[in-house]
Amino acid sequence: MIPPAPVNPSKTPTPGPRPALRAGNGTRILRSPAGMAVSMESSTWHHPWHTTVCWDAAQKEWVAVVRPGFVNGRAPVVQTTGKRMQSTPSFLAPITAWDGAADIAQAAELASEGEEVLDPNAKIWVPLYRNPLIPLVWRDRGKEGAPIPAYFARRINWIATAGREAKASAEVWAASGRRLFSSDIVLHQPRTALTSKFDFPVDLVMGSSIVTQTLSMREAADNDRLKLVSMSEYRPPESYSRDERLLGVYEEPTWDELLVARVFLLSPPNAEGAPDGSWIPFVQHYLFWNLSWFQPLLRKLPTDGADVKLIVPMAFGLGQLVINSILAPINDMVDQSLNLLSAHSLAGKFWTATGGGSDSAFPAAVASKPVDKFGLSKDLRAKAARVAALNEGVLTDSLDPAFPYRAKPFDLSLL
Amino acid sequence: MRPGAGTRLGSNSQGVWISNPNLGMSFNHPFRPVLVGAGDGAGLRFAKGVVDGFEPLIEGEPMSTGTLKLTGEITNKTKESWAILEVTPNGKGVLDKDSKLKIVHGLAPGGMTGGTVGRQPLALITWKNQRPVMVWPLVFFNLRYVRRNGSNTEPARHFFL
Repeated sequence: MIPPAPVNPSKTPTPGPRPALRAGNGTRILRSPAGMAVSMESSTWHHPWHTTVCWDAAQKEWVAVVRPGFVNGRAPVVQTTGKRMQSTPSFLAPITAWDGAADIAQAAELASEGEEVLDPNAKIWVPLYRNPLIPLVWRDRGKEGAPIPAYFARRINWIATAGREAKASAEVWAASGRRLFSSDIVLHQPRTALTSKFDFPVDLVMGSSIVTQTLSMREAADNDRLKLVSMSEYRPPESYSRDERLLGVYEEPTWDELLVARVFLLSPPNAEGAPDGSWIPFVQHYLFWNLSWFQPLLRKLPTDGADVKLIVPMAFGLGQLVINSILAPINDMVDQSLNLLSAHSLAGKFWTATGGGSDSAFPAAVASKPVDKFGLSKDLRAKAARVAALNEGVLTDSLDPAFPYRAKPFDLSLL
Repeated sequence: MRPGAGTRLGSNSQGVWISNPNLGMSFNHPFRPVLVGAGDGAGLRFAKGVVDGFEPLIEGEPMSTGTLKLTGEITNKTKESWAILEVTPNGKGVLDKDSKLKIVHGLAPGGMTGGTVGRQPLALITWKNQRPVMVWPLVFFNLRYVRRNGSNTEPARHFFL
């Protein structure tokens, strides 16, 4: 930390938080209540949604900072408090741009002007580009019986055997006496949802019933917004069974969600209690690029066929022949109803504009054969071993794929 | 203060600066934005990018040589503005050599439905005291444009893939 005043004693100290220190090439300056911090940009380019985890000693909890990612050009927000934004010693306000700002001195000067005063107790929404700290909600994977990713067993065995053996097994993990916590950071996009309701007015006299299906829309809550949230375990929206969709009320969620990153905390051997600063964080990313998002338009519903009418025999099992002859058209109408739900689903689609059309998958590292036309090749054998190890995730410090990572493909159903 | 390994110190009337070699940290991708100038001369420059093989224009100049002027009052609550790519395809919804492709500055990122113009936000600019502070790249790859034609019941859709 460099306090602002003594940096350049030849100059008259500037009143207020105006920095006397400028960021040059490849450098980043951060400000905290304790003073200024200078950090060198790492040699690795960080993608949007890149997540960093650190131990907040003041609050005694692990927090995450997510490098800004954008959906349709807008930054998600994070809910936090004025106290957390201003008072925690770990709060680092960026006064220089991450990337791309040529006039960094100007950016630093502007960022220090007219700092807003926040109510410490107020809950505020902060855009991701202001680097809000995200408190993490944890899940004890061992206690809850969640699977332990093989990466951690391999890594522990790799350390124990001084890099001679990359073996992953439940025994390796159990013998280590370590614990593993995980937390999911989720992107939440509100949207309009489709709802479906079936009415069954039973007519006991006529022995038949008219089943009516009504489709309608439900808006997202007024205060819902594009945001990042932490949860102990991300679960994709429930997939309703065929029967559940056809019985009673079926409602889509009024949001779309994507898993941004899963943060793991690995304990020291034989650790007990809640995670503290001695645990080791790992981050597994699921999003690597900015996103586009589009919600299908609700098409005008056809007046014929929107209401599915089923004639159900009420013969108490005596009219089996009649039932058999009527089952086929009933099944057709059930399928028609399910198709209606699928065709009118308002679930949004995410994708990344990669210029690759509908296929946004990048070529993965492929292990080559260790032989060429002249037989066994030393170079190819070394390359094959290297690629295999990389694919196993043993030699890397990351749970992520190599650059250019992965991208969400465009869904052709939007066309 | 002494410079450490791989660090360079400098000084001018503005104060002290610290520099560090890039070491490949920069990803000079298509449509990469850079803030330039100050005051009334503030603007945005871009690395070259193409849409269906065509380079957009800024004020009639190719985007790789032009500068997008960041002028006008930023009136929205979030103090944000966007550099937006606008494309006007031909009657078949396809970009050709006569299509208009330009980059403009606006207070909203633009939607994907309606009209004959496709819009894609390229950069988000954050402002303070009516001056641009930071720019955030929104697009990292060259683009492909696809239009789904509208009908009596549905507006046209413009997608950048």
